[in-house]
Amino acid sequence: MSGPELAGFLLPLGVSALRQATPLVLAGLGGICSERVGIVNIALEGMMLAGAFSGLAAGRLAGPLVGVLAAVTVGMLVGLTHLWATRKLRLNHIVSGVAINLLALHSTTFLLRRLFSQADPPVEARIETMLPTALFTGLALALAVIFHLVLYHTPLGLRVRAVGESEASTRMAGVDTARVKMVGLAASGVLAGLAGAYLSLAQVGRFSDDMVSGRGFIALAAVVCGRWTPLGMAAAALAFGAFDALQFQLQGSVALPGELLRSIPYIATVVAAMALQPRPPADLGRQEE
Amino acid sequence: MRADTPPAVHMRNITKRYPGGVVANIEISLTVLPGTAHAVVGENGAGKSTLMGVLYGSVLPDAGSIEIGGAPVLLRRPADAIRHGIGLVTQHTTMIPALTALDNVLLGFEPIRLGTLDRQAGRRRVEELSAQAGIEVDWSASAVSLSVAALQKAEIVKALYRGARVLILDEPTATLAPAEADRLFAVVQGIVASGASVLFITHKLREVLEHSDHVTILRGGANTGDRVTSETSADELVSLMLGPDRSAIRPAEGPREGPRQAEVALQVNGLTVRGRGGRPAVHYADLSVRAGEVLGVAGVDGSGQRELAEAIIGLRPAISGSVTLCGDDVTGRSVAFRAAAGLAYVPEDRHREGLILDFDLSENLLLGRHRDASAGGGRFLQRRRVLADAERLLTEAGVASAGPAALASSLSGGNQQKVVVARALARQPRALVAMQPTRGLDVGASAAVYDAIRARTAAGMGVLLFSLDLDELREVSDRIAVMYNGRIAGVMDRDEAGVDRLGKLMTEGRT
Repeated sequence: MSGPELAGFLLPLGVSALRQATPLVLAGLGGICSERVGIVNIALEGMMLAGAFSGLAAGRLAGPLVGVLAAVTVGMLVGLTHLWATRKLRLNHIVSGVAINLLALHSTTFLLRRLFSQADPPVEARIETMLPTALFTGLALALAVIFHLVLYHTPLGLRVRAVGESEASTRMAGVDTARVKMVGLAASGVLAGLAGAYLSLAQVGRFSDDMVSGRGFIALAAVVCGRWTPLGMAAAALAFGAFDALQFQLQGSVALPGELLRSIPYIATVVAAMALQPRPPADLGRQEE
Repeated sequence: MRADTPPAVHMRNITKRYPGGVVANIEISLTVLPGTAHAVVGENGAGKSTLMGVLYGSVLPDAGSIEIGGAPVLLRRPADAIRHGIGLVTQHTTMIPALTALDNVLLGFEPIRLGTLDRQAGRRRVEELSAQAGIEVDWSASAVSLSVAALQKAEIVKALYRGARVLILDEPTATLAPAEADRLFAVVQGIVASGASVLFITHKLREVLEHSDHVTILRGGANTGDRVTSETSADELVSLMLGPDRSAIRPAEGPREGPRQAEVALQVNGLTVRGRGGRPAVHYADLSVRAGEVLGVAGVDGSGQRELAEAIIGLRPAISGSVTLCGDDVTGRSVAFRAAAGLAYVPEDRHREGLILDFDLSENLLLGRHRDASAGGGRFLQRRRVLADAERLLTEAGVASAGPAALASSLSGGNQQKVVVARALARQPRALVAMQPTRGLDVGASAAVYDAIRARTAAGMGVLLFSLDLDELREVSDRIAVMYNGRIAGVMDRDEAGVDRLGKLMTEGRT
């Protein structure tokens, strides 16, 4: 390949990689917020879906910025629901996460039909004015750096890390751990909701059934590969985004099945888990005594 | 103490019932004067830790009131107690392993500059406080890398950093070597001299008599006496702790009569074992336990005792060396094989390793013997037989329970341990490895545990007994080995094992 040809291949690949990585970084930060305070969050998928739907619904009524606001609000409520279910109802974190994912999937499917379209199938809702993806991408990368600073250089960050390691010890040190967990899960929902808003309001401009299609789980995989650190997670998310972009780029041109490329994040997670042996926060998933 | 200064702490008629009906504190009153060291003594289960939890806001009392410096206070959570100048150093560290020692101290009370955590200012303050208290800790090290003694010192600084005027130490010397304990009490003296109060829980009377100004004695959840230390005696304290009727129940003392046969029950040669993180935790350990003998193993907590015990019973692979049971080499064999060959184990943590708390007693007693037809095991479990067998073991061991169908969690600690020991001894083992079998038990329960072990020892069982309690080891062992830093630093007869000699071996590896 000549220089210009290579540039012509790489530039769109890079842009596409960033577009694919953006929701992963946002949702991954949400995963860190939750798991660093000790709550396992496989509900990221459902939070993203709820955010994507409410963002589009509100966006159609009052414009995309109001849509984003609605998405983060709904995301936050779902995040706090997860906290309430695991802490007050003492549900197992995975069970609560599965319940939230199923609830989000079926309620958005149902509402989509009731509110926007009687046709069945195909079913989707569109929005005319979309938001620029670069806005979200810039925000996501900036947030990754900001979260790194918050986590390691502020009192809040210290408390968050401490709660995830040992809630009992942190309470004995005089910290209101319930409040720290609430902040963590609220932030988790806001970020996952924002990731959902990106999908429906910026990337494709419509909502369709199950449109998150596993990105919440891939974001969680990025959290694990990045050892629960914002910058590590962002790097993993960018790598996953690049694989995703490569898969689009190569589709049709190379005789490599798309399914294989699409499974790269999962394979990478297994390999990373074996190679890096990432250590999760010590209290992750623990039910309070 | 001037008469006009209000007491540092005045707890009045504190009562605490736990769900399930256990009354931990019954109308306990406690007064601590400023600038004094105040000891709280009592057996396990006397209510000491509950009372201290109430003062620290981590246990909510059902009734009673607390005054600090003469003013009534309401302590609903640790943060409230900290605000009123109460500091607590718990028996097991609350330092978070993944954080640095400094971050652990600052947590919750972080100095802030421009919205960020000002570690430099925090470090200056922490170093100033530790210099005053005569404490040295590597503050940038992560807590996981600090020794038990260093963690405790860091916890004291953590309490002082929070402005503690009343420092509670819960069994501070339980896991310390004698020399470290002396250094700790030097720190306590300094804190008391500065005008603050230290409230320490212990069951070692020597510490009470040597290091406290006042002492409060608890028994069965009630206050049985407050004394000025200089006006009391060990005998008076014992009778207040145990009560008039129970003072007689002490573990059997003096030389034991038992067959000390020349036959070796358990032989360990050149055993090297990896610990957590893959580094060798035990180096070339050689031990030989004769039939009918108790070989005690002393050592500072974390000197490789757990790894050695687990390698002997087969839970942990050895890198090199051999384990021989009554002449048969069992190196590399499974836990089940070794158990069938006559090796039994009493693990350190009865809640996590010894029992399944949500199983009933018959199920717990069957575990590990589930292939024995005589116990009701085999291909299919014979429920009736399992129950009958459990009934027999419970009766023999004198376990106070509602029968074989009672949940293990419903038993007191002492009775739980009797179940663990009864199961270990049920197969009539030829060698027993016991890790701190009386940890957390009161005098009566400890005596019962040792009586059960002694009965089998008299019949020729060899015992390898790991303990952190030197007094206990010197009482029940025939010989004592000392572990230091993963090595066997020395083995001696009980008569030669003075506390000074053991302490030096434990902390320096040589005498």
